[in-house]
Amino acid sequence: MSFARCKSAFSLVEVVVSMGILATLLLALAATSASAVQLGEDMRERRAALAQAASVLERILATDSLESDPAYVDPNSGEPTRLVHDLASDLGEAAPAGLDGWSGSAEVRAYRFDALVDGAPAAWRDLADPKPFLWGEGQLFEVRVTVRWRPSSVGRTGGSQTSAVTLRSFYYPSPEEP
Amino acid sequence: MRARGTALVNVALVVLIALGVVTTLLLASNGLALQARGTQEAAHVRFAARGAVATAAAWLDAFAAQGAPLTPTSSPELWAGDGIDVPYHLVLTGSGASCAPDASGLFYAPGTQGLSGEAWLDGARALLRAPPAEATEATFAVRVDFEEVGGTFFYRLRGLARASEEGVSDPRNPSVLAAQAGLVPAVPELFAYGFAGRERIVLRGRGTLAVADSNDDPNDPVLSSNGAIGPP
Repeated sequence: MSFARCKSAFSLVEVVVSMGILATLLLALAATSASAVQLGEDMRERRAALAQAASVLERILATDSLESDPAYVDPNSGEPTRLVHDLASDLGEAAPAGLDGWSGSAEVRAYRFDALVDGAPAAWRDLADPKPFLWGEGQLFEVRVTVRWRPSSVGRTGGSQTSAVTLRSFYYPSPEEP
Repeated sequence: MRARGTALVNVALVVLIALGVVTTLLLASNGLALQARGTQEAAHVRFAARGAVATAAAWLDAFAAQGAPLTPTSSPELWAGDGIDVPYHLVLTGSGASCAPDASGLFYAPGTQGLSGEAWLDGARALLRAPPAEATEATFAVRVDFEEVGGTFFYRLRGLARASEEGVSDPRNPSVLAAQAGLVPAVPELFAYGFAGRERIVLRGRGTLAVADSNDDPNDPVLSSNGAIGPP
């Protein structure tokens, strides 16, 4: 071995420093990869929940018979009422694949027009705050669909935190033609 | 000396490559998260705009059901446009189940020529992107165009909704939902329109039931219960 070849070798300090840098970078790479995989899984779950919420909301908005459904009228007072439907037992929905701890609800809240209180139509009032001289039956419905689930990242750590997606819209049945 | 220099370059290359991979992964993750949030935001705004159109249609039909539909003739103070070059139009703003003609003046000036085409969208977006005042938060704006065809008229509604999360959705948001709602024939007979298909009329509370045979003098009834309506 010549003197020049001995000079070209790494010193111990160089090797240790290089391995330290590489180890740090490899750890960061592994952590980032794990985080990316977890994020992808979370986003997949959120997209599945969102798709189901949108599907249920579209289905309710397309029903076009809420105003004639007797279930939306209180049998005692005759007032339109607010109902909460369970997605599984009332609407026959099933948990999307891969969603643990899944549950969901569809809340339908009736509004009606307060035409005579101020002498002219001005706003739709919540039926929870009835006043005299109400006009008509429930004619405008707020539909709010919520899908809840336990994220897989929480499930692996044994936590009880849940995520939820909520979509809301209004439904106005077309008036009947004369 | 040349060999030691080569070793340092190798280390630097490895470091740079590793940093590049980490950065790429981080950017990809961030893009994935933004994509999912954008999908959710688009669905939220789409349904909110659809609900805004439903609320505005119900608000308009409430007038029609009382026999007094809103038209440029019946309420000229609400409408802009001339019905020729620019269709008669008004803008309703509100939140949830409440709406009313807009009073912000951002894009709607009743009695003027108003804005044609899509120009009103700039004002509507400015309204819906502005930090809302606590008591006057408008989460949607609906433009109502009044159009007449063959002796009847209808409203054409276009709704925009406020995004729930700033900076997530498309720059063109609040999104536009075009819809035609509330085909409103000119019906002079209230019972023929508002009560069509009803099986019975239920009266609650105390008062007087009166029937008039003319819209010209509704306070001069031809029949009256004279206060006989009340609990048995």
